[in-house]
Amino acid sequence: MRRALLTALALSLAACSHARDAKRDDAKEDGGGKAKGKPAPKEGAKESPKAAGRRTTTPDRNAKKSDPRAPKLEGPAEPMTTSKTTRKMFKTEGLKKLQETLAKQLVAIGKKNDQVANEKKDAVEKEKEEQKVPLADLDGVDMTGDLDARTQEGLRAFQRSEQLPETGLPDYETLRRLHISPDELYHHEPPAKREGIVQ
Amino acid sequence: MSAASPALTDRYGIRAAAHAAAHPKPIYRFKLFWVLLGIAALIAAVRIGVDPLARRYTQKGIDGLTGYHGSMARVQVSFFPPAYTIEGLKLQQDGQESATEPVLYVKTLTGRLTLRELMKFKLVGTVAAHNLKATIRGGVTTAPEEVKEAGRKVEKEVKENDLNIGKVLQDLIPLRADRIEVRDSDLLLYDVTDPKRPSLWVSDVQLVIENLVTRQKLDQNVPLNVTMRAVVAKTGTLKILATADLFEEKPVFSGQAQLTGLQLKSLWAWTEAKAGVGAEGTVNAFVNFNSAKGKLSGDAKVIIENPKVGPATGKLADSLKAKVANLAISVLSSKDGGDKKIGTTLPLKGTLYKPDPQIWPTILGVVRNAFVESIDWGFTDLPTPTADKKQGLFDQAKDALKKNESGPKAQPRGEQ
Repeated sequence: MRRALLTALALSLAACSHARDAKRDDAKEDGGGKAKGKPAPKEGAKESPKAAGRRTTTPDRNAKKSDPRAPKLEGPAEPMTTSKTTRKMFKTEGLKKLQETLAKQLVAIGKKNDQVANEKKDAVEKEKEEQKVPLADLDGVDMTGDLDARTQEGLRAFQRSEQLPETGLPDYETLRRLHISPDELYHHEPPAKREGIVQ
Repeated sequence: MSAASPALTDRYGIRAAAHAAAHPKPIYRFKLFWVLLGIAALIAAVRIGVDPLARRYTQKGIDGLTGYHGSMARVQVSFFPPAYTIEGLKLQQDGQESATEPVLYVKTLTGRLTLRELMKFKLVGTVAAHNLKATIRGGVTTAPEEVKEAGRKVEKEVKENDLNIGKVLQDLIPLRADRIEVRDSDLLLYDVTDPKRPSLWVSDVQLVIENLVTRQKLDQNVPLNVTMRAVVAKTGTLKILATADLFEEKPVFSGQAQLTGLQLKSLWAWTEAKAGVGAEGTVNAFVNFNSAKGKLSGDAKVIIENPKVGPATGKLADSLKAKVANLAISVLSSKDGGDKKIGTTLPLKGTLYKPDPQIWPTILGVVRNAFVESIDWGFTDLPTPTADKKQGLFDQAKDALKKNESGPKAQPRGEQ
């Protein structure tokens, strides 16, 4: 009942406010202003996505003017959580071995990086090298037997150091370079076949 | 005397032979020198000549593409390890000015042969693209009248612009790819059938597909594997992990995809073009999928945090749409601390060719999130449990509204 009353109230408010909004929009459009109700453009963006979408008709021109080509983004480092099914892709012992090997490799890469950084006398060069393989907080990959956040970040750092695609997930080439055979980590058949999940 | 004579001759003969061996005729030494020099010259000629030849071959491959023309900065062939590298590859659409952005640009495209397979006279190996940038045209708009009108106008253009990146790469790198690797790449997708032509960036693409052709050899006893990470619309992180056995009579695969932190504001152009409204909020989506014996089973969980809808234009219809949507959001969202959250789980059953998304458990999931129990983040409650036997709508609703129950259940295949 309370919800119904709220609904009716909100609808009537919407109808009243629309007339006011429309008047303001007309006034602003006449003066070259923006319509009300549009959210502010994303922080750091030069123009609103709406404006970018409307400004040109061809996407190539659009890409050139509004979006800088090749926006190399770090992106949020959100780790992948794993579903029950996905966990069945991996052998627990294999994951533990991966974590153990990865922890050792990261320490080795960290030492190598420090050595390289120390050899570089030029401060700018040193800074560049440090940026290449950031390994802070990665020396503690835990032996959980699960593809957890730290393991994924560790894998990503290792892949970066090996110039492999930085997925943060264990592909076969990454495993080979860690001296782990893929069949030590992955089950031979997808869980859909092995576990009879699909009914 | 007669007996000593042959011995002496013999002795002299030995001496002559020894002398000849110790001092070979100069002509033989020159012959060896020339042979070695010839081999060295041949190697040098092959080394010098192979790159221009490869470049010519690649240019021929590009010229053979329909509707596109292109160029490359450099082609390099390596023998140890056997590899073929194209640098600065650019593809442009026919009729485009040379100054416009190419539809496909690859900084480095490498084909590396697997020596083990080469010994069996098979050209199998890895295709690796580094810094690939592609513009992909396609899609449809959901507004029916716009589909018809815009579709008629651009039908020809869509056909002409249909860029098959896989085919292009296959034409240029003549080997069977067992491993495909894409690193630090960007895709620009845009909907050519929509008059507003909204675009969407998928950037920082990292993709690996492995065991494509040799997996049947079972030398490593592992299935086909796909791993991917990308950034969608500059804000959302997309991660995909899947394994598949494509040599079964019907495809068998398992996997999951996760999209987190996608700011709806960055999709303003899309939502405006498709629905006439713009949206704000953060989208998190979790998809779990499995297929065996032609059957499909999966779930998609979507959670939108702090959703808000605003009109894209000053039109009455758009404003009303936005107000109604905001009203629905305020009624159907749960409060998690100070944040509003709207979410549900969509169970998917059926077959590969006829998937059956289940609507009622999805709707009831929204209601449960709003009034009974807030939906969990991540894959914790996936896959959705399936009911033992078909439930009526009333029973489904009863389950959805009970706090002790796990929520609305997926219904057995083909039923709701």
